[in-house]
Amino acid sequence: MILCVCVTAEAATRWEAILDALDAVSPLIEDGETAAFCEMRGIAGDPIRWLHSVTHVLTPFAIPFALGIGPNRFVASIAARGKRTCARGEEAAFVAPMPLDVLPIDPKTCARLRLLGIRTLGELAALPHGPFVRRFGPAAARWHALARGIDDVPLIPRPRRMKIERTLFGEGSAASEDALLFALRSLVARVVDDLVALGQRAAELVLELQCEDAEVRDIQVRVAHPTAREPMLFDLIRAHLEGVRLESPVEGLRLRIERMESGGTPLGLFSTQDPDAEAVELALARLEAALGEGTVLRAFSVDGYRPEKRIVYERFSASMMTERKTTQDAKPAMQLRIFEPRAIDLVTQAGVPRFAGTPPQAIVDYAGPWRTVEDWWSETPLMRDDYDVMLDDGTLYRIAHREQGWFLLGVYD
Amino acid sequence: MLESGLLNFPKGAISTLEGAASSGRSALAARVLASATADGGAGALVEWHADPNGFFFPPSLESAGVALQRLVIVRAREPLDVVRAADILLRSGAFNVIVIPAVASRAAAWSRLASLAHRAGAVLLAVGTQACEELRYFASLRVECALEAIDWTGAPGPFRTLAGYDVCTQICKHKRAIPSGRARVKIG
Repeated sequence: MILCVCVTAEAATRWEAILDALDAVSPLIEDGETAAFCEMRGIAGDPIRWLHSVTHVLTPFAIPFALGIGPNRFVASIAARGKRTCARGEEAAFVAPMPLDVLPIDPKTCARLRLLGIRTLGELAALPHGPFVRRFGPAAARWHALARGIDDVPLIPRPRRMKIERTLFGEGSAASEDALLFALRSLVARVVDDLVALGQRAAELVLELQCEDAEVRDIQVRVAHPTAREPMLFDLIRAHLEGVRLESPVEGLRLRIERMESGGTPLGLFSTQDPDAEAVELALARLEAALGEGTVLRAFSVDGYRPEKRIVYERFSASMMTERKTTQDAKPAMQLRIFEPRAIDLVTQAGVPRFAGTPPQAIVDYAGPWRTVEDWWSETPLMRDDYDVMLDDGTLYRIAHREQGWFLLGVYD
Repeated sequence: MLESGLLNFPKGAISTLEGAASSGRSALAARVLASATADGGAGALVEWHADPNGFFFPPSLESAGVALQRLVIVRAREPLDVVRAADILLRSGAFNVIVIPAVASRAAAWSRLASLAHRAGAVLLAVGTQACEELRYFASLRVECALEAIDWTGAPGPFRTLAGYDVCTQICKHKRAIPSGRARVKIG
């Protein structure tokens, strides 16, 4: 029998602790992200006693939860919705009144089934298996089995979570940067020893600084290329510390590995010319510490009509540099440099732009207009005409005309 | 050097690309970034929020051959941040080419950057309308750009497009060679 434990979204932050507590109930627990499934086969007692023991384990968490017991995972999750227990052999009748939404079916297919007059699992189970699968594809075989209360997928035990955490509390406190870095170096050495002993590499760390004035500052360090090298980890943490200002001396340090990866550092066959990933990683950390979050970016272009809609920026990571894409042959290409659209004065004659700017400069040549219409179905549609214009001093601008007036978008350079 | 597409900016030194808007300086800087990123190296582009010349447009950089996945874009809030960013990038030794706006800064800052560029063996390229006096002093190579001709396709109207332009580039300072040389570069 399987016991299903469902908790509300508010308990997500304590989910790992809840799973740890459930270890007292069953040796095999699957982490279903929104629910936990405990294998109860061979556990002493009956369903009523199992429910009591889980309730006893979860009560200290003071969270709302729902429990259900069934012969398999699907039926147990249905049981957790209200009826609590389903005996073996009664699965089909137990799930029959449930709506189609409980199945892993996309909403579009659900709507199609409703059009065919199928609203409950019982009605779905009554359909002939072969024709139903032929009409809805291979996934329908599983839906049909679930509708009959059959779920033969075994539970997957959750992996044991390894924890690496080291603290350093000395007598007195570190008031100078040198003293802090000295303590940090020995702390990193201990953590690296733990990592090496477990055959792991650090991918994300948190350094907790505990100050004399009771302030606790967490510094999160992400490592693009997970490593267990002490100098690298120390330099990375040090780079992040460069942007930290503390009001009082530090009296304790705690270094915790939040995420780790197993195995050694992978090396690419064709990566001899790749830049040193660790050096890049350090530079990025220093830049973010010096200039602030969100200042080190990577750009990529996407499809779109308006120039300003064709760019997406995201945080740069050294791991992206190993991506190999074929680039076009290098040749000097016009560079459009874009501004935040700003209003400009423009004079037209017979619909043709003639003078731009303040004081006005003559437009000696132009191309356009090219009309862009976007979001025409919404309440705020966009319609604009773009032009490339050349002023009498030789400057080439990209401008646009909208209902509100003329705007300067960029300059060709 | 200029005929070969300005690929030979001296490594380990500061260079400048100067000229008015639409003089082709950004196109040439993009070409240098493309050559840096094409063979597996990394490039960096430092941009300043209040730069009157605006931000580089990534699709244009891509069309010039820049591998965007190997290009770090740094957004500086003030001119001093541009210098700080260049300092950090050069110190890492991981970037072949670093393009920065030609902001006004003290001689000590440019001296330090010149020294770091030398140590890293990287090309530090300052792009702007005109370099400040201190930058002009510490730059090993200064190239001035000017627009010469524009190629339009067809008659004015909606079916016309800007096909490209020709720029004239001139070396006005070179610490390792005779500072002369003029070339016409076709862009587009």
